Amino acid sequence: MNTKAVLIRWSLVLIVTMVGAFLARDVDLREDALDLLPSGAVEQDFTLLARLGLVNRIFISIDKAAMGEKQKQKLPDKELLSSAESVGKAFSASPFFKQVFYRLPEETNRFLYDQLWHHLPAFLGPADLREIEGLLAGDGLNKALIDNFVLLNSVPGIALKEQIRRDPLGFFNLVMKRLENLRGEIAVEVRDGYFLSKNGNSCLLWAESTVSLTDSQTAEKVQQEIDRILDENLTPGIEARIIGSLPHTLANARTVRSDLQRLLPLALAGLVILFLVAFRDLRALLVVMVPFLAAPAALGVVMLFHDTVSAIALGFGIVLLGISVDFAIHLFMGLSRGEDSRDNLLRKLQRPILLATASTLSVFMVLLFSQVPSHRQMALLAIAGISLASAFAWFLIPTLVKNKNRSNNSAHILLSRLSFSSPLRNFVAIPLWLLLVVSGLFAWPQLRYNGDLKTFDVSDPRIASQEKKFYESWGRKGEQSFIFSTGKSLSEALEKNDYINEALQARISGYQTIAFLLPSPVTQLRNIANWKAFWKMRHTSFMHDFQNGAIELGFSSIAFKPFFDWLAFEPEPISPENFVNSPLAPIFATLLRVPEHDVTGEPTKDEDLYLVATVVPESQVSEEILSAIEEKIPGVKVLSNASWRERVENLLRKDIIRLSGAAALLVFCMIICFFRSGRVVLAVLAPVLSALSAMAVFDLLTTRDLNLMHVLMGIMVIGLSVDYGIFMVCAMQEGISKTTVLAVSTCAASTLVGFGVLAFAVHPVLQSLGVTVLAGIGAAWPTALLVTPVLLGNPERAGE
Amino acid sequence: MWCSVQAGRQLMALFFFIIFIFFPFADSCRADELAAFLKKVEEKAVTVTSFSCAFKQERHLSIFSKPVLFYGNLTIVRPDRLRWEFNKPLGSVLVLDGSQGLRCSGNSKPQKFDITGNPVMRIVFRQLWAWMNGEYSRMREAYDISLLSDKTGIVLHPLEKAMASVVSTIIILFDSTTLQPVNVEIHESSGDKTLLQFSDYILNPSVNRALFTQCSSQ
Repeated sequence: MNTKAVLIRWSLVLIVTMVGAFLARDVDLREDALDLLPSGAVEQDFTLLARLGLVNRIFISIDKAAMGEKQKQKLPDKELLSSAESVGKAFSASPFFKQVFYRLPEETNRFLYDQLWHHLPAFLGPADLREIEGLLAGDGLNKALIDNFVLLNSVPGIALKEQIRRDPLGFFNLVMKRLENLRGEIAVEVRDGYFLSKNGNSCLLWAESTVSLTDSQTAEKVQQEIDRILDENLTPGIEARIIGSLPHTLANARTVRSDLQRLLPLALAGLVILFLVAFRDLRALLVVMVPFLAAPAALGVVMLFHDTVSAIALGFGIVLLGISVDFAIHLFMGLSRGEDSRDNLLRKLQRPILLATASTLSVFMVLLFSQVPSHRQMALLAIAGISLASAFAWFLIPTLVKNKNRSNNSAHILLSRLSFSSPLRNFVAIPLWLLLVVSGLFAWPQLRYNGDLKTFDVSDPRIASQEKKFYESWGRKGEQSFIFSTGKSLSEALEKNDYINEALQARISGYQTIAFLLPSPVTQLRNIANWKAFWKMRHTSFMHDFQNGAIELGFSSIAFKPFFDWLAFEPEPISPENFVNSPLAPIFATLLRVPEHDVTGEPTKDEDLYLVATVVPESQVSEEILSAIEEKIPGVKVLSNASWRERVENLLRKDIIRLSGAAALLVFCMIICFFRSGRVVLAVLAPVLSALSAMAVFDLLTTRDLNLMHVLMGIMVIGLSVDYGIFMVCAMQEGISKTTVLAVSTCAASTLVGFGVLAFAVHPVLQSLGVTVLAGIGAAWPTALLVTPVLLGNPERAGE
Repeated sequence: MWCSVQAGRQLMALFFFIIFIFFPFADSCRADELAAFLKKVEEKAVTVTSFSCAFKQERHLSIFSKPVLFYGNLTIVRPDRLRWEFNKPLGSVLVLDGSQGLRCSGNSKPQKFDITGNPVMRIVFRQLWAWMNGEYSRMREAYDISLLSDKTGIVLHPLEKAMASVVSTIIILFDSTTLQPVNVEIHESSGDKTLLQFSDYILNPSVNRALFTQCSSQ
């Protein structure tokens, strides 16, 4: 090839690369674990949880530092509370956080007594009226008066005098008990407005991050901000524990980073040594780099269709470009070592390279129909990348072949003999291969698909210990179900929430709701009507009995005037908006979301709707009850952790079965159309069968779980294995089998070195990835070398 | 006329001079006396780790048609156990063991409480300890304390807003020999008052722990 042609080819490729780099210059990378979730219904569910602040919420337990119980008691509460106060204030002032709660506003109690008492009849439902009726029946009234008399004469009476005058029958307690319904399962005591643990050694603070906590980059920034705040505001002897998605995101990102920092240099060194040994030529390094010139252009293509690119998709997509490195190796080895003219060799290599590229692309074409957005991006990136990389290899690799190097090294000779003339093939390789395939057939049905994304979470003992201590202080939190009601107005959302409450009230207890404390206007009016009807029948006799009983005990005639005045007052409903914007706002915030902007006109987006949530412990309620609620009340959505996880698992499982099936069928049809002989097709697919069997047997012997990463890497392994079969069969048919044996071996060894090191990673995702490749390629490689030639038969045609 | 005015002015000046010069001194004298008195009471209190006594309570409340008398017993084990029991005319019990308490009244179901999470009970027990625990110097953060002119007792004025809105003054008189409180007067901001008289002290008796964890005294 003359210099001009070489220059033109390299210039063209570099222009394409530079155009790609230009298109991809403003790439907006999304480094979010949620990219692994299917879109559609699951995404909507996630949006609801995110809107309620559950995804980006962090809980901080401010504790007296680890020390003996006696020492903890000696440490003044003042230290703990002042730390909580200053940390809380710093969180509130930080741009990284919103909805920060560490203390109820001072005016909360006064507001409750003044406002709630005034509107109390609007909050008392039929169950409360039944309780009042029971209190007034028989000797109940007299007993209540005696209790009040004793209480007033006891020491607490000094502080409770005015309260007893105003509410001698404890009506207010009926509503105050409902504050318990807002606490849920967290064992929290409110002291001076602070949220304290039962033993008083911990103080709780919670906040919502303004940036995503599932994105490792923004999570790092949030962590830095938290560290700064805690450093500046915690007093000596006080420490903090952070619970939520943040520690998990950071642990995963840091483990991946540390794994890659440790293992990538190893893999790189291994690859350089391998290529130098296999090629005995420094240009080898340039050969394997050629396909990666397609990366910027592939990214540019993705950017034409997507505004943001998932970092997960980008990472995997670039890795998948490695498939086309195999084509470059075959080209270089074929041209530099093949015993034929350059044109003839190119013609002979054209067929397997085209077929291998087509089969690989067809697999990724199928992945374009995945329900997981990051898979679709990955597929697009791989399709664009592999197409361009194959073309670049075809254009550029011949320019790198200067002199024919016909000297066959000892490895080359050994591999060729092993593949084509060793008697071991028939007596050892074939029985072993059959055993592997049968074992694979036995293993596959016993594997279970585990779609739980928690399996990708790195196991960090520090986080586990922090969470254990947190739950010890604040009570164990089991799985929860969320029942969302939405509405164009707050009243509409609250009305649906009231229906949910009615449906649950009769069946379970211990759920978290604002329904008791914030009934809808409709419910309030109904309560007031019931209240009036209740007292209309009893008022005269009640007043008579009460006054007489009180005077008999020694109370003055005006002792309970505040109570009588209140009873005579015309009750009115309270506007929910006023209530929501009251000092009680922090109490409601975890279960209620109002649109961030004023709603003018009809809401068009979900964000414009009012959202009210009820949180139910899953141990308390059956799936049937929740489904019945969802079906019966329009505009209500039930989201349970278990069923959501199950739904995600099912969607992913179906997606993978559908896509893998389609990919397998497509590859199979393509191989059949191309080779048109059962024996040849079996020879081509033998490495694939080995790879699948080996992966299945390995899984069965280890975790028995098949996860998303196994499947993704499995697709790559199948793509590579089928290529080994194609190259071996075509090489034998075209008479270039000697160089192909070495090329296939170099490709397989490079994949094993490049990915195999990941089997030593700490992070479960990287480890799954490495192990899958080790098992799959580890089996496909010897199969391509030893089994494919035997299955194909007729070694004469293979050029021996 | 002018002379008398002038003389009056001179007298006033002299009066203010005396006030300004001697008042801080008088104040400092009183502070020393108070400190000495409290030290004496506290030194005695240190020798008493527990006591029980009878008491009479007289409540003068505007919502009662006449003052109400109650009789009962008080048992204290320092630093944090207390039993306040009314025997007549109606029985009721209030016990505290650490931060855990129990209130029983008549046939009603006993009510458990934790003073850390119950602001009313916290105020109540802070009051009780204020009168009875013998560590009066430590109360200076929460009360303005002064000595009665006859030096038989002290007067407390709550400093905290929440407390001051309920209680305006507490007067505690001590027995001259045992230095235990014998009379406590609680004047409420509303004008109501409570008078407590303690008698029949038994110092350092052996006390059953169960007295502080259950309402029954058996």
